[in-house]
Amino acid sequence: MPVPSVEGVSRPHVVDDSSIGLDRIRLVVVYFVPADVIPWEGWRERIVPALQEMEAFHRLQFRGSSELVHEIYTETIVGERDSAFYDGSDTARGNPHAWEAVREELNRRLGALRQDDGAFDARLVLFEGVGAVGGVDQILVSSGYLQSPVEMPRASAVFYHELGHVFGLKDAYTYEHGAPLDEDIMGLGRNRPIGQTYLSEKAKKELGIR
Amino acid sequence: MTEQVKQTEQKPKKRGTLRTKVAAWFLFVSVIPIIAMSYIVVLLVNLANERLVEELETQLVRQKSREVEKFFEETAGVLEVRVPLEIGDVTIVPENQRRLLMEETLRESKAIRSVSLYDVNGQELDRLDREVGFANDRDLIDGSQLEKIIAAQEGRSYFSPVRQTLEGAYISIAQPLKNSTDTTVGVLSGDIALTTLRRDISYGTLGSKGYILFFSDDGNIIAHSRSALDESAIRIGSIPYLAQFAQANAGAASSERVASFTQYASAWGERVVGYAEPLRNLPFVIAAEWPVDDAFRLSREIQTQALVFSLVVLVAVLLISFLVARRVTQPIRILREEAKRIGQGKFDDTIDIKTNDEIQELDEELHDMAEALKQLQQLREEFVFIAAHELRSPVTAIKGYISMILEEFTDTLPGDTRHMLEQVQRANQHLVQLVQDLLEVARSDAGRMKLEVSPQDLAAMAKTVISDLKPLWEEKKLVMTYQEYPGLPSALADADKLREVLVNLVSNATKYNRDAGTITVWHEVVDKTVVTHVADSGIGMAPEEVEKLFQKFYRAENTDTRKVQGTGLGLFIVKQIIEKMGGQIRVSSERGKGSTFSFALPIAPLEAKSN
Repeated sequence: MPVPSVEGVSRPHVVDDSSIGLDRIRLVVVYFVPADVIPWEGWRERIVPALQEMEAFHRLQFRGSSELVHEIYTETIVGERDSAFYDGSDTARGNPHAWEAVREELNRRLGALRQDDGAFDARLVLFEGVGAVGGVDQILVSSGYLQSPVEMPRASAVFYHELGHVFGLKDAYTYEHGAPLDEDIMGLGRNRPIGQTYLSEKAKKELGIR
Repeated sequence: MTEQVKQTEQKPKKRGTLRTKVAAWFLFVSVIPIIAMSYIVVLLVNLANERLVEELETQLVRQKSREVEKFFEETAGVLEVRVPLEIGDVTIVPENQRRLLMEETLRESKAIRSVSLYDVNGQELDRLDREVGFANDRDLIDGSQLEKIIAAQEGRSYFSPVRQTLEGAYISIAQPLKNSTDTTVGVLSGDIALTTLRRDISYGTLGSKGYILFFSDDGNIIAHSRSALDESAIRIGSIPYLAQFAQANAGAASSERVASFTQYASAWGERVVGYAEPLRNLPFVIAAEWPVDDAFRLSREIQTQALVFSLVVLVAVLLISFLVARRVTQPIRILREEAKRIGQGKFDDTIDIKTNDEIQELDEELHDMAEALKQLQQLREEFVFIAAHELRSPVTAIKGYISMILEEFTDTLPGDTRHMLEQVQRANQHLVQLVQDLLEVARSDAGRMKLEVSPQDLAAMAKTVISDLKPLWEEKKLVMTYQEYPGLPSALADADKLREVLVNLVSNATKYNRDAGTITVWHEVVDKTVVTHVADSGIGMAPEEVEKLFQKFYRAENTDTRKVQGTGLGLFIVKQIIEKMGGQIRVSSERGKGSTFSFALPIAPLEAKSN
């Protein structure tokens, strides 16, 4: 039986766009508080362990071909508008309105994310409000995941699930009933502690992970 | 000797030596078996090593395969549950009984970290986690879209791909829950931690560098024993060649799946010899890889040792072959030398060879032959001496009487009578010369030639001889030239014999010269010898004639030489005389142009006075 030579590790990339590499991902963490909400002082202590878990998970799933690092914007960003504005009329599906409004405001106030050092930049907005949505170059997640004892066990998994959307991965559950189509972090696994979940082979293939 | 003095010598024909031949054959006969034996040994060792490697890899792979199969038999088997006949759907089973079943499942296999029970529609009825306990109702899911549930609902066992999590690798197994009529009434699913399995795999090693790989059909490495588990697993990822191997067997029935054993480059870039076997009824493959430098270390060491040993033996054989050849050929060389000396007339100079074989017999025969030849020569010399001696008186008497008759009756003898008497006189003169020469040769052969060597004035003697023979060379109108050499040192020689040599050479230069030709005599000093040259412009000689010139009774046979009278012994005697006086004689000649005879004698020491 002929035995071919081993192929090298290919460069991971955004789903359906191999020109956007994911060798190095920089997550800029911003704590965003609507104008009428009191900021939570303890967010830094809670976010760091979650980020570390995400980074460990990322390293394992990408088989060492990609590095996830974070930078924390130390200053709390107080929104220009009240929470009513950011929440909008529909907070279902993770509150996409807040994601959009906050993104626009942060881009305006903090400037564009992309830098010229070859890293893939994304923003993690820890939001004092309802939210769990990701896409393009930003994820918006509620600080409640880090504050609620019920939610805390799966906070990192939720955050990474949303980051998965930034990479171009789709949800692996039905929107109608929430029935999981897969048990990985894009499906059922987002509801589990990140230590117990994984990225499916299908998702890895889409991301170019060998 | 000057460059003018040349003696044509035939170049000896190049021959090989018996010693070289014997040595070469001995070497050849010894080396071939050594090389052949070394090659065979190396070949056999390689084959044995290859077989050993195959056996060890096969054993290890099969051992690990059995461990993995047993593991999955136990865990998957635990999930294979049958419920009583009357139950058509597991939902009708009371919750406490369901939970009892699930607790029992966890107890039976410590590798199962959580177990879930689904109804026939894929709704999760209960989930029990070994760490957390039973899940809340709100956490139960609709699993109807999950692949494992769909497979189990169709009555198939489901094995998920290996899932790498931060808490360790695991797979999910789902088994249809069946009643006694084989109807699927629900699904029992369990998450199986592979920690113990990975630990077992990590203990599988070969030699100091060989290792085991445990991977799924799609080529994902689950575990290996090469080095630190997790890091390497991350870097390897999916290895296409393993996937292709697995996929090549994927379509085959389990009994037809093929194991392979071959050499290739591993995921770590090493040249390895690998053996892989797919597991029975499981979507996994176990492979052993053994870096060839470690796997064949033993045979390579043996190869090196065999090579060194062969070289040492080769060198030893080489030395021995020459020693043996020398020992074998030495008696033959001695025999050759003896034969050569016998050919030179040295019959007493023999060596006894004591080899106790045919060579010794040959040596003894050679000694007998030498003795016989010696006696023969002695007889010959005696005969020649006696004959010449006895002949001397009568021929001298004839000479005397003929001379008296011609002198006393010179006026009264008739012309024709006188003419006949003169003929007789000339013939007798030739006979007298012949007898004298024979006597001289006989004395020389018998070692009776007496020489009294003392410093001699060569120049004076040469001039005297030239003067004495003037009537001869003047008769032929030859131009005689003698070149003086001022301060010519004296030569050590016997006066009478030296004169005899000069007379012979000048006579020959005269006899074999053309009318109005030239004779030149000159001397030179070369090294510690005085060399005298006598050159003529006579008939000269061909090279083959020159070769034999100094042999007894030799005379060149051509129209020119037949006109000249001679015994053929003159130059032989000249050579004997010169050599007995410690000198050498050479000749250079060209047919039709003339000859130059040159003889060298040792220079007399300065304190000796010349006569």
